[in-house]
Amino acid sequence: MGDQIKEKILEKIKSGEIKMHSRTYFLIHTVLLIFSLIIIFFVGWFLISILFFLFNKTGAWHLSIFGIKGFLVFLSSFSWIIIISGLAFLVIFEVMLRKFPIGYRSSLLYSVIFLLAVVLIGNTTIHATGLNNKLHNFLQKKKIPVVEKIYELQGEFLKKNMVSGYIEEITPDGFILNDSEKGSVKVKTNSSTKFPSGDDLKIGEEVYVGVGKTDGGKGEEVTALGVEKMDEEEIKEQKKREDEKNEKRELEKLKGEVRGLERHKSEERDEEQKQPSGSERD
Amino acid sequence: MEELNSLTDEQVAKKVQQGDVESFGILVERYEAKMLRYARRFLFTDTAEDMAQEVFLKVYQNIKSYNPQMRFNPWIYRIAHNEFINKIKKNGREELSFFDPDTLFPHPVSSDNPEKDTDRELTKKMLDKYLDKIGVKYREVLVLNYLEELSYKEIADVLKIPVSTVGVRIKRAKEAIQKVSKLFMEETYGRPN
Repeated sequence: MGDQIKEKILEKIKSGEIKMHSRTYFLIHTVLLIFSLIIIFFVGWFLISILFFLFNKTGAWHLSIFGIKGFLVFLSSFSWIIIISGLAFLVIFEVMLRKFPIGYRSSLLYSVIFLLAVVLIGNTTIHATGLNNKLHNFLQKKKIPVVEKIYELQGEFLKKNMVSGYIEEITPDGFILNDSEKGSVKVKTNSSTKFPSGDDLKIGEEVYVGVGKTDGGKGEEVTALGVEKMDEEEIKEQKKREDEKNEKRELEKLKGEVRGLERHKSEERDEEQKQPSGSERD
Repeated sequence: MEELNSLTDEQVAKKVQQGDVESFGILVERYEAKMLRYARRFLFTDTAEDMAQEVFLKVYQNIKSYNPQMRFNPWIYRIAHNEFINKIKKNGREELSFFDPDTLFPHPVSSDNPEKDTDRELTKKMLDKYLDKIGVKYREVLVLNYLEELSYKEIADVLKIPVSTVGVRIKRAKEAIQKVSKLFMEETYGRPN
């Protein structure tokens, strides 16, 4: 029986029915696998890094220091679609990594904790160097269709829960805030509003406001969960963003004017062509 | 030929990689009985010979992906495992879970084969009788450890799971087989008073 199996196999090999795969075949296979692993990891990383970027940009981190309610609003500020997508990519990465000894030799729990630690610590470190902001600012300007949608998606969540800007006026029940996006917003404070950096607010001061309740129809009147003064770095960032926005607005305005002028000119040309020349009339 | 016989599996595999087809015959001779036993005890099939043949053909096709610096034994068992699992999936008679919760948490690593020889023999006897009565997941580790005599680390490399999970799985598999054996005894001889 033994020889029978051996003979059958050797016959199939010698007749060319069964061929050995080349080393290149396995090399390409491994390279593609590693390449996919890297891509999947960085997509997961990128989606998580968007949260870091937007939370820092909007100051939404401050929500977490406005008491339990603030912390709950902070959690609700996450776009779960982005988090779940980011985590899904990391799960796929983990499943694929388990094909390699480095992946399957440790328990899934340790492996997942290690992976999350790498992503979170890595993102925090890169964020601290300013590289994260540079990358996302660059990508936002490029307006890549899918990526742009992701920024909008998370941005919408944050806009609902946070306003920021400078105090225009102090009112008996709070203050009027000039938010760079929403314009003037009436902020009401009460006994449960938290002031981690003090409640001695002055006109002109730049602050973050965690929104507890939106009273006005378009968000022009809010009850504050907490008010936190911006530090110098944050003020600089805020100024920079406002300048960028103003520049953009100016540019759009100029573009509109140029378009108007061009339209006007082409209308004039059309009219000139419609009117018959003097010789033709004669 | 005698010269070939004195070579290790790894050295023979290297020769096959270099294009020596006859050397592959040596590997077939060395692993044929093992593969047949693994197929019979894991799959409980009448087509064990066909299955073993399929394994050897896959081994030949993929031999260039084998690293001769590593042990050949777990590598060939890995190929056999994949073939057999595919066969089980194709038959659809037994359930295969995608996720094993035992791989989730770390377990204290038990030393390799901590049993006494007498206990080991007793377990082996139980395997002869009740192996087909327990699930795929538990059956395979018992076959690999008790019949094929693979170490925990080798089994971990075959199944691509942590070594500590192999220990836990073997422990649970033994409990499962003991339970089956107890049930059988009770059915045959009645409950002890």
